Amino acid sequence: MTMERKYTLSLVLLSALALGSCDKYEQQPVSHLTYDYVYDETDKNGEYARRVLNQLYSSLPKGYNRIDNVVLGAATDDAIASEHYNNIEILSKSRLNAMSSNPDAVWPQSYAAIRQVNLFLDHIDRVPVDPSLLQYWKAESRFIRAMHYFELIKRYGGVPLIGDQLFEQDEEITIERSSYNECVRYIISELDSIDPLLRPDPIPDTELGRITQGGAQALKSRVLLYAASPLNNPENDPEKWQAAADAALSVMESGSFSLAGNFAGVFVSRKNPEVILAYQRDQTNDVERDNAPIGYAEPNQSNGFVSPTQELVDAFPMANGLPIDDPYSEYDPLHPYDNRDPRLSATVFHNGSQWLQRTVETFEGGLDKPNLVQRQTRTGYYMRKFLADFSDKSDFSNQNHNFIIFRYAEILLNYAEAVNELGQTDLAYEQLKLIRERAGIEHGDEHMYGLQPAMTTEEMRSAIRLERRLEMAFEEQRYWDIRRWKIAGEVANGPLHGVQILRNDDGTFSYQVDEVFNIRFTSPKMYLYPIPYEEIAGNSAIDQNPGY
Amino acid sequence: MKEKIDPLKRKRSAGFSILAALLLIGSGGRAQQLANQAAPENMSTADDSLRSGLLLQNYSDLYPVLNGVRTGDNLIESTGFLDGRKLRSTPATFINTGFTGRLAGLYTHQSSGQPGSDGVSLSLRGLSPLIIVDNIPRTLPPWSINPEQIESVTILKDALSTALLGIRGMRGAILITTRKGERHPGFNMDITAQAGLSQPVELPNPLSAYDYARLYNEALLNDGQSPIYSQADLNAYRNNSSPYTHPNIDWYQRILDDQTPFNRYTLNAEGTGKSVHYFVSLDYMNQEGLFRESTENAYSTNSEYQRYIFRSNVNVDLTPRLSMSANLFGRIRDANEPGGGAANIFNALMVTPGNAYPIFNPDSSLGGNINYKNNIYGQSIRSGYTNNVYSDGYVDLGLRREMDDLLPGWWVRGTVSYILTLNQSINRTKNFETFQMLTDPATGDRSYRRFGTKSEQNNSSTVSARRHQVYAEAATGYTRHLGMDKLDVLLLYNIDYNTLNDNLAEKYETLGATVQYSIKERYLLQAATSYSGNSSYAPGQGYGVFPSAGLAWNMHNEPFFESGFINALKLRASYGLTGNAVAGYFEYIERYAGSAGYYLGTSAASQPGIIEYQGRNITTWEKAQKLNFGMDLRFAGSKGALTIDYYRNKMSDLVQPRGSSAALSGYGFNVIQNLGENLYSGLEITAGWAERKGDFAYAVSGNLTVSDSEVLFNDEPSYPYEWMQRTGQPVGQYFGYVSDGYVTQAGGGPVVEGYQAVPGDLRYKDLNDDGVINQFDQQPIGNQRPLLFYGVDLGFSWRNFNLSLMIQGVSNRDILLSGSSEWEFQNNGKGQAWQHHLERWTPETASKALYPRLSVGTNVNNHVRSDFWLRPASYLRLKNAEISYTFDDIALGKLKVGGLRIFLNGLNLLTVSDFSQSDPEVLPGAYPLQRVFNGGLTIKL
Repeated sequence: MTMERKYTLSLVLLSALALGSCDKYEQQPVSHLTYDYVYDETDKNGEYARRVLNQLYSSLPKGYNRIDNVVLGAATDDAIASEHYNNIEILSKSRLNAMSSNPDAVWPQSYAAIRQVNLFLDHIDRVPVDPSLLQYWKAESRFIRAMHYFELIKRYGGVPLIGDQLFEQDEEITIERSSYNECVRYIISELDSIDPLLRPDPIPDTELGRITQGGAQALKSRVLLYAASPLNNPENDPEKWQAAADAALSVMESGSFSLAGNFAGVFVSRKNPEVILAYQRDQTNDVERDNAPIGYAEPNQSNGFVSPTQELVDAFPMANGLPIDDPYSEYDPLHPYDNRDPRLSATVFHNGSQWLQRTVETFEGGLDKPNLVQRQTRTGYYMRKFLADFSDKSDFSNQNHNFIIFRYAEILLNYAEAVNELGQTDLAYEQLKLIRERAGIEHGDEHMYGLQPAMTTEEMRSAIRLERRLEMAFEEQRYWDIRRWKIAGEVANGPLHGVQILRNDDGTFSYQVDEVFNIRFTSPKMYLYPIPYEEIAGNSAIDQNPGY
Repeated sequence: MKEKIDPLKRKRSAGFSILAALLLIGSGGRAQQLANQAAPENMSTADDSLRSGLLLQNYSDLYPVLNGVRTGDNLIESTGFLDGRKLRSTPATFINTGFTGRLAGLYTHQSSGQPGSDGVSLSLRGLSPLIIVDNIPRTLPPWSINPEQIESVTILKDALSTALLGIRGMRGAILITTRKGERHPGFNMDITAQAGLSQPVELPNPLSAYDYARLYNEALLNDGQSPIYSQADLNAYRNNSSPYTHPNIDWYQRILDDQTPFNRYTLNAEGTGKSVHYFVSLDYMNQEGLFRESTENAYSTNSEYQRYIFRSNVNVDLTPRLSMSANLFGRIRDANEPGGGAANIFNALMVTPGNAYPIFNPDSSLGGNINYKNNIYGQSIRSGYTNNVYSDGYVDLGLRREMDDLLPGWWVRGTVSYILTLNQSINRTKNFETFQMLTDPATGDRSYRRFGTKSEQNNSSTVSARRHQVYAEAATGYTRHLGMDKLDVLLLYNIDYNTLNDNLAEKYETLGATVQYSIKERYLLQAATSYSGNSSYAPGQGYGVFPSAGLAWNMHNEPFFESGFINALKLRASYGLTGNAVAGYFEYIERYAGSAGYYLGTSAASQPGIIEYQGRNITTWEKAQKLNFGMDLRFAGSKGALTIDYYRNKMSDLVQPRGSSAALSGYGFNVIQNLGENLYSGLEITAGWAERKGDFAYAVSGNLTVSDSEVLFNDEPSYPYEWMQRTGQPVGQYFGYVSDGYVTQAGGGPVVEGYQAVPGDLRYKDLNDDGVINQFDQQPIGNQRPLLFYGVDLGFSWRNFNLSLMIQGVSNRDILLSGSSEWEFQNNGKGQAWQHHLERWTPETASKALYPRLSVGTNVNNHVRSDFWLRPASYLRLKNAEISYTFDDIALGKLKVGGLRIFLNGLNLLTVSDFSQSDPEVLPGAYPLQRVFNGGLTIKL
């Protein structure tokens, strides 16, 4: 062999080696979870299909500090954001338009979730899991789809119903919006058909958190109540109220749920007779850290993102159930937090509340309102609801913080509201008393819990609305309630107040109510959200909501 | 293309000397040697002096192009050429810093001055070019190398020049050719030592604590809130009377040094033996960062960058017809950083006011408080350090056989290359505590409130990235003269595997051919095409054909051409289709991916979740149809030269979010797919002049680029008003409100929807007259003219003195200001305020205010995108200058050396800009741009 050949040969060999070493690999990654893997026709346990369902659960609505660190209630007369220029102001200042970013937008998210449900339903029959389990899974996923439709219609009004359809990524879409009532009918028909297919209550401990028959009935109750409300029932059709009352009653008559003994405890327990469906979360202390007063040192440093208003505080009655402006209420303006409805202290931190082994100081210059350059309460109050009781603990620990989607108290209030509109005031009284009793309000000699006797339908309506505001504060109810009642233009359009507390030299306090925020509600356009501009651009059959 | 592997031998002609005399910088003893050769009779052609930054293609020297070399006369492609020696006067870590201003069509932008991260981003005719080193495409361009190893840089601009890159040709390419060693007999070695100082070009100007507090009170009042600083507070800030409770700290000064050293040592050797020629380079560089250090640490907490490089390029003639080349490259880069992270610290320097907290409390603990828990001193000195070591190395082996024993003019060539890159991060960070001093007003007792938790120093390491590339190519060529005509054919096949971490290799594969036919050296025709693909597309979708063609007319070779003032003239044109693979990593496979899970059961057991992976809907590669016209001119006895190129690149199938996609589909908005169409066009002019008069010689070359773009299609929704349309606007055009002075009375307007204005707020033009300001009132703002950039390179020599200057500039450029570096009291009121806020609107200064009324936090009306925040940011820089003196043979004691050259050079020496707030390239909040003064000497042995 000549030199030249040797060289050539060795180089050719070398290149062959370099190239050859590459070809041993697969041509596509095997690590990808393809559909065949996920919906495995041989997997009796449905290991991956189960994970798809877990993800669907995680798309359920969850509250807490979800909008730029504050609760949705900070866009009502109940609270404001402690930070100036918080994004919640897009809602509380009526700054929404079709092209601006909506901090409460659910349009893309809900339709994404609906697609995931449809995908799941389209494939899941291939997985050979136990038929009863398969039945539960399919019903649960259909509930989640119904829930997303409800989340859509309460924001946007009627939306396109797509049923079980699956679209391609580059598909041109022209689907009109269905009417609000058509959407309600679709949701109710879905709920009615999955009701018998879901797990019955009570659910075993290991499955706690899954959607049950009670969940489907509770959603039905809420959907029908919203559909009967003035915003969606302008002709005040009593049949709609009757349907709402019936739906609430069926939950009550199931006997599966009851009011829990302790109001504050409802929000920090996993298993509780009052909870019908909750968004299941890990044990954390994030809710404490986000909302507790700011004046605590590490490791209990908290952010106090939400400032409840004086309006909310004043709405709570006295422990005897009488409103604070009632001449017999025994309200003492110098000790405004004494002898109040116990729910007040469970809902807000006020000056003098107990937390982490000291009293909360929201007076001017106090530890929790130092008036330095920082985020602090703008109203003299911090939000306490949902927080575990750390009054006499020294440090935070992880607690249960599921976000309650449906609880029994709401069902009672739904029922009271519906039957009152049907003229059955006495039935409404019963529910309010149950709720006030559990709240810890004194029953009084007449066993009226401070409720005025012999109220008219109108008076009772106000009483129910007040009770709903107090009982359900910050649970993402009032924001929607004042819309469906069409009162947002009155109650959420004008100055909101806080309290300025001065500590006197003798240790007493003086209180002065100040205007702290001007909430605006552009009526009527803010009763519905604008449909995102891109959506209308992408689906020419969609009409925009009025005013946008 | 009959030339052998070392293509550049012919350019070492006598005419080269002027370049050496005029423009050679930092190139060691050869400069002096060549300068001595310069003789008046050689001055008739100034080719070489113009070569740098000026591609004059009408002569017989050879230029590296893709897969070979070409004589200037034979070039049809649109290219740009930079002699590697031009890069040596730039005292920077990254060689691409030296590209700035030197090449028409190539736009550079530097966004950080941090050692080891201070390279420039490159944009060639609007796109980020592919980087090719010694004919092999590199995923990670080796920019951080010593410039002495660079023979030349060629930029490939049109379709014809990149035709054989196939599916990755669209972005254009930068071809770097490393030195292979001289082919004339002998041995040269030179050693260069240099040292310099770098200092920030410009640091931001924060307010003093007193001004800060005063303005803060004013802003609170503007917002309807109560002031928080009392007169006593203000006095304390002004008098510095209580530094622990009322600190007044200039953070930039306390944390940063004024200047920092830089040094570099290089040894280069090259030579030629009987059948071998080689080039070897060793380089060490050390660049210290700006952070002050403390003796309390046994280790460095500065952002330091050390680099070790080895290169050896060897060519061996194995037999008279068979030659082999072996290029070895090894590099270690060792980047140190304070544990707090250099970028984080610069951000903290920007957002922390001077009165935030004292650095130390009276008990010498670190200061901090609820708003500022992270003491900057602690971040830089007491957070340990992190160390990133990047090691890479590669081997290229090539074998070339002249086949003229079988067929005259035929050759074959094989190349393989292997590259390995490894990034290792060593984490030796730790956490520290800060304390807020609290004084009991009654007793005066001090107590301390703690923030953060102290931790032991970590000691862990991770391999953050491991890449390797295997490249193999086979090529064959044939050149045949047919009378006065000439035929050149090249055929090649290459395959390129790139692997990142545990991914499967991404494969590029290209089969290409090019044919050039020259008729009597007057008319040149060339066609090239490739069949090329990428493995990450769905099967059957990843391969395409990329044809192009060009022609040129060498007018000066026509019999009728009479050489007068004009000595040479060539006209060229090319057209072709190019592609850009953008498939991602097997995005097309329908699959599920991990996602949010759920917690079920009373035990809150975590349940994992998976969700459909909605990949980008990419079905094809991006495409560009590129048209190029060019002209090359040489005049005045070849002392002057001019090259003009015009291009028009129409791009399609660009990967962009779909504007009109219904989220109803379940895919959200903005589905990514192949849809965009853009048009890029521009004009590139390069001109030069070189002349010698006795002992004095000079050369001037300049280039000017006008670069325009237009969005042709982006599938945007049809907006109700035409001013909202992006289509028809330049690519990347800013959109925003149009400011219209200040609000004069409370509740005035028009202002942003839902906002209640107070006097001094910005007022906007209500374009659609609906009474409110919202998205419908946003229109193109700022400059819509084409970007213009230019560079001027000046060289002078007188006897043994050399002086070179590089001036560079950009016009029609805007900066959109935003965030903490521009707006006051951001970050919910915790942010910094700046000198320019003193020019704010107040009732007294309403008529001459340069800034709206102050507010605390992000004001939804004022702090939004509008033309008020747009600043013209054209600039002109003395980017680089060098002065040197060369001694002829010189004896250093007993050691006789071949030559000695001493030099002083600098970088970013002087900047003129209509943007005054900071440097126009590196904005506040980033590690500042560095001005470098450097000096050194080169000894030739």
